[in-house]
Amino acid sequence: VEATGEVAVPRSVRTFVRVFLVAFVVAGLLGIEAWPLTGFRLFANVRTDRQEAMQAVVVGRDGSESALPFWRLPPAYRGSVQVLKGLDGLPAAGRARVCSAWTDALGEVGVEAASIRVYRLSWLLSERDGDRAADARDREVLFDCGGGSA
Amino acid sequence: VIARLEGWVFAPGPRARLAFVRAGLFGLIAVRAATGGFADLAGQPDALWRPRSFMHLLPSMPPRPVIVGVQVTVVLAAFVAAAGRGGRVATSLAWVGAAFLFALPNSLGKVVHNDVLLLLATVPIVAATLLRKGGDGWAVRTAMVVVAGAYFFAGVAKLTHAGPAWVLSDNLRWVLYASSDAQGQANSLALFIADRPMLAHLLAAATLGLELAFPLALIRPRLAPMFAVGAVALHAGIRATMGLDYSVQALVVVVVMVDWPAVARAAVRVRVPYAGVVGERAVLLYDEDCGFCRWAMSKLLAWDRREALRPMALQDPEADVLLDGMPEDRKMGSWHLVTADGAISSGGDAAAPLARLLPGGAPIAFVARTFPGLTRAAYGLVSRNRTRLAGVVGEQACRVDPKRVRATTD
Repeated sequence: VEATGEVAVPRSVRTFVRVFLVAFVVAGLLGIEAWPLTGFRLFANVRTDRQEAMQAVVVGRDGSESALPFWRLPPAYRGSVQVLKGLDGLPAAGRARVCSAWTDALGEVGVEAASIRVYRLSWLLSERDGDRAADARDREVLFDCGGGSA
Repeated sequence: VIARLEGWVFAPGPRARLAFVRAGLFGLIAVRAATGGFADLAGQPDALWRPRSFMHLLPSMPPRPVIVGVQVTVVLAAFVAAAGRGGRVATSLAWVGAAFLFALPNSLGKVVHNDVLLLLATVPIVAATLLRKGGDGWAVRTAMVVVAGAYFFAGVAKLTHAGPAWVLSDNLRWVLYASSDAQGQANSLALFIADRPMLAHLLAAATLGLELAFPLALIRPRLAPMFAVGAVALHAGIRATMGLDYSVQALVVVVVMVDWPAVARAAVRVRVPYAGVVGERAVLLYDEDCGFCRWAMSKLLAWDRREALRPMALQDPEADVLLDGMPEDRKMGSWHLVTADGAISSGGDAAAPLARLLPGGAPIAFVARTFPGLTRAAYGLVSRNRTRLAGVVGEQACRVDPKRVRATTD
């Protein structure tokens, strides 16, 4: 075992370590997200019984609805669920671009979509139907997009 | 506190551990770069591009040939860096390329923490290669601070945003119900815990406790492997209940927080008990770079007519096995006697058991055992003046820094 560190640690190394650790600690304590520096906010918020989420459904030519199968889209669409969460905050043109991307990808996997409808759902986790959550208590249409509507 | 922390971070450290941590972290980078599925992200529509941090410099997800090119570069450079070769170029290429690759999944709309700890813990290892001045025992300790800090800050974030309710409310139950509902098939383990409020409270408390207590691994290094086991258990539990893969983070903890070279030395000792002790002979370890030490050893061996002693230089690789990974400064700070039962005595404390092994040494052993403080002081006096004594006895002057010896034998 050859020891390291017998030579005094130079000022440049000490300065680097100090700056690096200060940045790491400040980001960690203040919750600053400057990737790869991060606040390590993992499951930090308290979950309650009441849940709210956005749901995207495919509207067929005949007006029928079915859940948008994100899992069938190519890997490049992996973040779509996260994008959906922020969709109602986008301007209409931005929404239209996102929905258009989804409808194009759906077409490639054989799902024909006249448009995409986005709902806001709320439900109680404590209301169970077997080993799954019961159907949503409230379901509100937020907007339709894609297929010429935005 | 800051002065003590700096003293700890910049203390000397064994090079074997730095080499192991470097190999482990760059090995992980290589495997992650090769298997992370980054090239599959190419072709993402511009409308879905949600860049983070430095990825804002790019207008959209990079094309597949660019991503594959970076992957190949990172894998090659990381393997070279893991082997301790390639110097600054390989190390820098591997880290910068990995930062680019790992940022890609972070540009899909959500912060992905899995690779963050790997990148951050590797920063001091990269810096040790780039700065290449003075000792670099600080690199491993800085990486340990990063790992412990990551868990600690995760706990702090829970307290800041949720407070005691993170443990005391039904928070974890709802997390597990929601997670099970989001998985393709209901997760029976998640539901098992969620259906039992007391179990959920206990697991939440254990999680928060582990995270907040993680810095103890820095204060009490012997606890570090226990925290590593706790972290692995935590991530295995998250994987089993929520389907989230934090295996890279768990492996970083195992690589950085466990002193694997020491574990390997201990394993050798277990496999070959008291290796180096031939028959019933005890091993006397001395500094072969010190003229007075060599002279004293020759006199002791002349006295040792029954051949109860086996001399061994501290510089002999077998010495590390015999001394059970003793820190380098302690190891080189004095002589050591390892008896046939594996017991280690150092400095003045070695005088009594050593004298007992020598013909007619029993009275000396009695005195040394009766006045241990005096014996240690006498050893320290000789040790501090061994350069001068080397001149007196006509041996080559001691080449060991006398100040370091004084500091470790007082």
